[in-house]
Amino acid sequence: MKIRNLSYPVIILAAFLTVFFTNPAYNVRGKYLEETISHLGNLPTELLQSVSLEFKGVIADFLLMKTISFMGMKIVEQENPDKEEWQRINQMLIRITDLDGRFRDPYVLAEMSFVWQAGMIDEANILLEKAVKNRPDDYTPLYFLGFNHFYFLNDAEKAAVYLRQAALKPNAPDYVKGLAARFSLYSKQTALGILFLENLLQDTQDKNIRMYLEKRLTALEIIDSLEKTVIAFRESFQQMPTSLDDLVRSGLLENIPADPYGGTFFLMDNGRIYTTSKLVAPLKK
Amino acid sequence: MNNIFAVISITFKEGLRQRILYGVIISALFVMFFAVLFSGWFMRDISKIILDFCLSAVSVGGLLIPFFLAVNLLSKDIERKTIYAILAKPISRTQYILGKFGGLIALAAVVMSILSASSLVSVWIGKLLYGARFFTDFSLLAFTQAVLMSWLSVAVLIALVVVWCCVTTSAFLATLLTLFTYIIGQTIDDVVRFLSVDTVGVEISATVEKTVQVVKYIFPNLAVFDLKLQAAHNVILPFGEFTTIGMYGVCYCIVALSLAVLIFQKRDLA
Amino acid sequence: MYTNFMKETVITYDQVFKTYKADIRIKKKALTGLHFQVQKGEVFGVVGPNGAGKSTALKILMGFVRADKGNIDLNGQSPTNPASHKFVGFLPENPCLYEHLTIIDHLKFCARVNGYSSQESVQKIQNLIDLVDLSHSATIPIRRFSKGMTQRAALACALFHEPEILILDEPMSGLDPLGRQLVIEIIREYNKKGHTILFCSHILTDVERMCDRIGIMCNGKLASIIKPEELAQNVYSQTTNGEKKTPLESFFLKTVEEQSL
Repeated sequence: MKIRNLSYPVIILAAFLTVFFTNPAYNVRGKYLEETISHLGNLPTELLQSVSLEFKGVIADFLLMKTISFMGMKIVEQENPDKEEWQRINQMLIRITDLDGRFRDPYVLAEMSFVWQAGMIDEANILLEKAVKNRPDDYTPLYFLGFNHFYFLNDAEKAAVYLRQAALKPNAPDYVKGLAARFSLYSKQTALGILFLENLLQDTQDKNIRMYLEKRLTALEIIDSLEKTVIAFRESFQQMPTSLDDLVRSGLLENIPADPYGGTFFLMDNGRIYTTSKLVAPLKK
Repeated sequence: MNNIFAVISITFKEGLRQRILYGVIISALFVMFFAVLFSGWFMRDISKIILDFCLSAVSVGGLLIPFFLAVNLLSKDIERKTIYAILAKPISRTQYILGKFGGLIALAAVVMSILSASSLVSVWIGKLLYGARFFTDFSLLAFTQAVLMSWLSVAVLIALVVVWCCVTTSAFLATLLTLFTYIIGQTIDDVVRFLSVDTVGVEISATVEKTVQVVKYIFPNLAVFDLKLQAAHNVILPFGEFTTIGMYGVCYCIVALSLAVLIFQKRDLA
Repeated sequence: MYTNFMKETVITYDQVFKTYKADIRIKKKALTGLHFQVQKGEVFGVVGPNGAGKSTALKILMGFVRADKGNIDLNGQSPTNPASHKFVGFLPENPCLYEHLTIIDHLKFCARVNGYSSQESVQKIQNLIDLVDLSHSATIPIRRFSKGMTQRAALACALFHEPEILILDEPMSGLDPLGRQLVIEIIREYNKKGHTILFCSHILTDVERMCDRIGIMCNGKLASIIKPEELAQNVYSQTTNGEKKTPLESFFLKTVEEQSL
């Protein structure tokens, strides 16, 4: 009977302590968490596949969740995973897509994070090529591939090829078809680029990516207007201007606009405008 | 107290004589032998690989108690009416529950101790075969921490098995619930982390978030007791952190057992 | 406090009701107002058709099952109090002892629970094993025992601490005539020492031979209580359908028939 009376406060105390210690326990584990990702990422993908038996889908989902948590955690802690950690994430996404090739999310994750935050264009493209094979009825991977080639690799020709393929897919929105057509017909990269970016901005909700896109769009719009000014100059004066200062002196341009990327705009021989920054933000860290 | 020890003793003896236990130990020893062999193919992080295998074997050995033995010794006890042999004596239901729990964690402790000892033998053999230079950082303390926490994890699971066996008469249902508990226990950590971080392109409804916030205090987080990776890399947990996890586990067991006792008091043992 | 007062009541059932709610749709009424008492030192046998509630009555007495209504008194205490088992020995129906343990393990457990030291228990265990005639099988695990052997082993466990009250649920079921004889003798000897015996059984001949009073249970309550002497005195129809029946059998059948009307 004495035990009885003693046990109630003990139980209440235990319940309270359990709640009290829950968060600290989670935190302790969090400290040592990153090990798990490297562990799974190093498993040969064939082994992972055979071990998953008939549960590949579920395991792929689970691994993606782990990967996203890992990324998110890193971002919370240090603002960006480092090179090695990005590679680990890449390894994870490769294994996830090996388990479930049609799984859309890992590809989207790769496109959103690899190209914008890690500068890993090639790795993203490899994954996207996989998506093209595994998701034959989806325009998105082709669209992303087109964008990557245009925006990051400055290969408009290849971009056009991808966009054309994307336009053929059943779920491609109309503007993709329009974009593909224009890429084939016109060589005016800037105008197309502006169109491309405007459409992409319509699709994208993520604040950070919108920032990148808007910056690029502004830069292209400036380039576009400068190129138009060059044409106006040529029509007025029957000759090409030698530099942008000519445009200012002639009164067609008020002043040379600033490059959102911090470089200086200059006039190229063929009448095209480019910038010393090459439209690339200076690398942090 | 004497009564509780009596029940612990009889549970322990009955469990020990089950042949499954010997199968477990033989299989685990096999795994450890294989670990030593397997690690030789890597010739790099040998210590880590041997410890990975061995600590996993220790965990699996321990887990066999809640999954196979516990349900046998609890649900079947009621099904086959062997429980009468105990409750016909002046033993209260509380003492019965605590005694059963004690017997089961004692069995887990014995199994895991044997497997841990074999692990250390594996490490020693590894040292002999491949050279001590691969094992210079080997930390017995880290290893012990991992084994102890693994045992605590098994204890928490056993406490919940006791709850399930009090709730349902069916041995099958109890096993199923144990399986779900284990899966939830291992994954809740990831789920909570995933939901607590704002990541690119992932939208979570407010209801789900709130539910998880509550649920994380109810479901046991079994992943916090997993120190295998730390031990494999010879990382020692500071005393404070070790105690935190320990307290979480112990308190959770107390609460679970209290619940079991409460449920069991009302149960008809027809 | 020991009193040599033969009329002292040790077991009381006072209007006990119990309904099993096993199935949501079907509620089984096990006890419907069970009401009787057992005096100290007597042998009380409960008989009844299957499903009458005999086992339930004993399980409620031991606290394994809770009654819905009514009072039960066991040795001056409530059955839900484990202390009430201190002076009580129980033999369940189809006793299942732990399969992998031996009878010695079980008796050691009994010894420990009842506070015997290891030295005291050694001799006691040996005596009990001899009493139930299991000396040759003392170290064999229970799963190798025959039904009769298991029954005797369980009886030994029930008798270990020399309880004042012995409660047996179908003690003779499944035993061969030799085994039955042994159990009857043990029970008789035990009763001679002044202990109370309450048991239920199907085997009317044994009940007739052993009991001081017999209770006939029907549909969850005690239909009548009769003494064997009374049975002999009153002439009940000795034949039913041309078959010769014992007095108890006839009385039993008659009572059951009356109850079902």
